Amino acid sequence: MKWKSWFNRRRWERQMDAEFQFHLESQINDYVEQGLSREDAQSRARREFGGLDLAKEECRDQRPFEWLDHLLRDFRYAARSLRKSPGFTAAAILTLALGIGANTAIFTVLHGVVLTPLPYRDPDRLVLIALYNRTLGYPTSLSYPDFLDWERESHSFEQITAYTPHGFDLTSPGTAEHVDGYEVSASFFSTLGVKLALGRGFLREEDHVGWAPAAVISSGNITFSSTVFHGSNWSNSWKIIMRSAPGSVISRPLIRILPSPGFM
Amino acid sequence: MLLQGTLDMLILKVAALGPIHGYAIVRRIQQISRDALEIRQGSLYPALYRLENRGWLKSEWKITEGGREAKFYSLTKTGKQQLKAETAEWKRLCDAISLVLETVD
Repeated sequence: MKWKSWFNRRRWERQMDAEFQFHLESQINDYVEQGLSREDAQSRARREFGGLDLAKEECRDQRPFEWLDHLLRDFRYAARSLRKSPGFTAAAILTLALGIGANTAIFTVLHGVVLTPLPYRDPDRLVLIALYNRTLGYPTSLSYPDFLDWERESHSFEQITAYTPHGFDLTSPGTAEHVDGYEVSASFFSTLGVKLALGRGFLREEDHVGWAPAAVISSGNITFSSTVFHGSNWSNSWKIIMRSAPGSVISRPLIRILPSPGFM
Repeated sequence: MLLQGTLDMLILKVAALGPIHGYAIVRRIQQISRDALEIRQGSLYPALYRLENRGWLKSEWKITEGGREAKFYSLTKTGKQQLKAETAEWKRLCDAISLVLETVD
């Protein structure tokens, strides 16, 4: 019921006028009955009533959803003022745009780096172990035999895996291309808890010297630039593999391929 | 004269006696108080509209005895509760003030 009065403002005003009119006329009639002339009665009633317009204005403030009217009025006023000074409007919009943009950018980074959990199983139990050279002031590499010692001797960790950045030269098919990747120990994917989309992960014995090298690729640009594969003469199964595992090596399932001659 | 904040309570009380229009509310309060209480008519209507907006009064256009159309106010359920609460609060206040005033040295 209440909201109806908002849509029919004129009717609401008419009713308020009628109500006030009724009040004044009743008062005038009473005074006339008491013996006053109609003119005296009228002026006395008006005088006693006080500020009619002020009373009406105070009543209007009590109209249901009057705030909505005020809001619309303010909104229209703001729109008019902004239209009148386009320079100020442009500056304000630009300021807002930059402010919002900067905040969004910062939050996006924060969200990705700090808030979003790593896409691994139990990311809270995952730690990075690194050697740090105090004299030099930066982390240094660990030798493979040292890693094997750590893996054997340490009991604080369920599993330890090693990785190191490594560039590969892809010589076939087509022209040779350099791709960035990592050399990892066999337990790499099982430690991270990443499931491969296709094929199997590395075998323990593939860590051994002299074993045939194996590789895992993704279509993303972290291990391999995806452009490497486009337009190349891969067999059909390759194309299916590439299509079924889009995305980067970190966030998407990986696929394993058997090494082919000249692959690594 | 009228204490601030008491107008609402008086309106609710008079409206509790049955549907009544604004002019009659002024008359009734003056009558009952034997002209001791005079209501500023300009402040009556904003008060009525406020009480209606709060849901303590409801209004209806009806024909008066004189055959004219007038807006009649009556108490709602929550209005009854409000009147009860305000009356109790008023009595508490009066008793407290009396206690202070009637203290003998």
